[in-house]
Amino acid sequence: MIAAACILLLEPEIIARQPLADYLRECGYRVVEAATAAEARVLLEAQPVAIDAMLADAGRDAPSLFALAQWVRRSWPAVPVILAGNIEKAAAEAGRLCDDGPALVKPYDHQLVLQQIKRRLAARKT
Amino acid sequence: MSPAAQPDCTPTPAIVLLVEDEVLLRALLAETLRGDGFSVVEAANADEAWAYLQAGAGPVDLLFSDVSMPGSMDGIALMKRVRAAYPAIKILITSGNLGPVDLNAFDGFVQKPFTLGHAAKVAAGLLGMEPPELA
Repeated sequence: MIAAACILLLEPEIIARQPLADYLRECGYRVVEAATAAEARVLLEAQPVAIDAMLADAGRDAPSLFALAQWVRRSWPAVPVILAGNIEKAAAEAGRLCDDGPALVKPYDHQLVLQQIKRRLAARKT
Repeated sequence: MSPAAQPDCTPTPAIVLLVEDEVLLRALLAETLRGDGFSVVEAANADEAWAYLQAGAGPVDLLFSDVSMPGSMDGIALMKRVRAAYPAIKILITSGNLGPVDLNAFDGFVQKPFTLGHAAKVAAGLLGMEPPELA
């Protein structure tokens, strides 16, 4: 039996986080939820091999998001980082930290998020 | 004439709004509750939980809340607001050091530290569900 891929979802807005997390679970993923970059860091450190991809929006706290993304890239280079949110002003920085730049904008299009996750996980396996 | 639609007999999972600021405990407890058939909404603190309820984002059957949390209100303030605004929601609180409280303000209490199985069993009991099989 193949274990479901585990997505770490960092989203500070519960109204956005909860339905997206539920949708991804319905799609067969295991989802762990974090409301802040600090919480995401705790989860990553607690189970470093369990997270297969991280989808993150740090809301207005973009510096924390970028610091977290850099740390994930250094510590677990095989874990794809997908950045999301209304962070156009920091697009150049975000582009350095994830594969395609901040391709996801809010409000989330759940199917688009799913496609991104599938694509990143598939790319990781090749 | 098309046949009448068959009623959907799939039981709707009870929805637990889980409020816990310790992310590891929250994740573990949420996963346990989901494994026992609950639908779980995770909130990192009382403010987030209140925002979720106020937004009318979805029905909630049980508020399962820690007491000591950062933010503008703690679990006690949250449960008082919930009891006043949403009397149909059952309230289960957890704490390692619960001070004097109004016993009418909540329906159940789980002392910290607790086992995940015990917490799930208490939640199920409050909602009149079959207690989950304990491994």
